[in-house]
Amino acid sequence: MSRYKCIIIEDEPLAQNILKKYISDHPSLELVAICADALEAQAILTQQNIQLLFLDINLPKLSGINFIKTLIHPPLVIFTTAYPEFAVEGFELNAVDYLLKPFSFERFLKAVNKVIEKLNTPVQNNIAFSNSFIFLKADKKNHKIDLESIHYIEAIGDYMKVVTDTVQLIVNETMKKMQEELPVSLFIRVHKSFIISRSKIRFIEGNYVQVADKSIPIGATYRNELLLSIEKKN
Amino acid sequence: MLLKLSKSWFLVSWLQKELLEKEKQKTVVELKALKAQINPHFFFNTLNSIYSMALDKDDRLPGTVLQLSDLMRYFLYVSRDNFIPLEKDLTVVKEYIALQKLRSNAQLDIETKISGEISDQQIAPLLLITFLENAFKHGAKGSSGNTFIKLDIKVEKNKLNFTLENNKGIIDEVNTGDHNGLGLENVKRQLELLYPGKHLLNIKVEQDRFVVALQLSL
Repeated sequence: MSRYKCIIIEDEPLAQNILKKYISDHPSLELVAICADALEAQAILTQQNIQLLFLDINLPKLSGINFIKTLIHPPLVIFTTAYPEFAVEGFELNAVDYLLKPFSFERFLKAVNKVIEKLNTPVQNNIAFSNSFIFLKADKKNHKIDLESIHYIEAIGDYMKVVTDTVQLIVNETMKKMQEELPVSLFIRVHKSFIISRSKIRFIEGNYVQVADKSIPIGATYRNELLLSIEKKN
Repeated sequence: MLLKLSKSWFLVSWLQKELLEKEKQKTVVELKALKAQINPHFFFNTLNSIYSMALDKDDRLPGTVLQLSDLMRYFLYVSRDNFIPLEKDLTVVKEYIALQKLRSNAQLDIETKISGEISDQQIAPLLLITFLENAFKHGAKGSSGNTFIKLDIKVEKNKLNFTLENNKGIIDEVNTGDHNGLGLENVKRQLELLYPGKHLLNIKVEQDRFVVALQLSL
C-alpha cells in the first residue's frame, strides 16, 4: 500500500514530538520533514509531491493561515493550533480538519481518516485530474494529457492504452479507475474494454462506433446508454 | 451669615470628597479591566508541552506541572491584589521564563540575573511578566534561528531596576481579537495609575534588538 507523504510545520519542539509520534504510529502516513517555519516547508513543497500538511497557525515570519493563501495548489491541510478563533477561517481555506492543542491520538486518527477519504476520491495514485487535463503515469513519466485530445481508452490485459491526437500511452490502471477519473460529460463506456471520447464520435453503424479513425465495438450492456445519450443531444 | 458660610464650606468639602471617591472607584474599575487579560494560548500551549512530555514519560513533567499550577494561581488569584510581595512576583517571573524556555527551540539563549534585597518589598503584579510576554512573542517566537532574551533585575533600597533585551524577530501578527495578551499600552496605563511620578519607562528599538528599561520606586 502506498503511503501518503506529509510534513509537519510547527515551531515548538515538544509539539513537533507529539505529531511525530502519532504519524509514525499511523501505517498510511510517511513523514517527509519537520519544518520550524513555513518558508522551510515551501522549499520542500517545490521539490516533492506532498499530500498532507500538519500546520500550526502561530509561526515565526509567516502565519499558517497566510502561508496557505500563498500556495496555488496547496496539499490537504490539517491545522494544529491552540487558537480556536481561526477555525472558521481555516475551514474557509478548505482545511480538512482543525485540531485544538492538546489533542488525543483518537482525534488525530479521525482527522487523518478524513484526509485519506479525500485522497481516495477522485484523485489517486497514477492519476491526478484537474479541470481540462489529467496526469497519467507511463514509462516512469507523468504525462500531462489534455482531455480534449483523448480519442479512446482500450483495456489490454492489466494495462490501459490511451490514444490521443499525438500519442499512445500504456498506463498501469484498471478500467474501473479510469472510468471514475474521467468526467462523464466528456467520456462514455461503450464496451467492457473501451471508453471513448464523446466529442470524437464520427458515426454509429450497427454494433460499431467510429471514433476518429478507429472503429470500436459496442458492447450489448453499453449500447442502450450510448444511444440514450445521443438521443438527449438531439 | 457665618452659618451660611460654614454651611457652604461643608458642601464644598463634601463635594470634593465625593469627587475623590468617584475618581478612586473609576481607577479601581479601570485597573481591574486592565488586569483581566492574559493570553489564554499560553496556557493551552503549555498544556500541549505537558502532554508531549507525558507521552514520553519525561522526567521534567512533575516539575512543569507544579510551575504551571503556581502560575495559574498567580493569574487567577494573587494578581487580584494591587500590590503583592516582590519575592512572589519574581518567583512567578522565573517560572514563566522556565515554561517558555521549555516550549522554545535550542537556539534560544536566555539569561536571567536577579540581584539585591528582594524580601520585604511590594510590587504591582503582572507588570514585569507583561514585558516578558512581549519579549517572547516578538523575539523567540519571531524567528526559527538564533534568538535571545536577557533579563536583569536589580533592587537597591526601594528602587527596582528592570532591563529586558530581546532580538527583533519577524512576526506575522494573527488577529486574535481580544486575546492579544496584556500588551505594552496596557502596562503603561497601569504604571500611570499605580506609580504616578514614581516610574521611568524607556523602550528602545535598536537595529537588532528591543530594550526595555523600567525604574520603579517601590
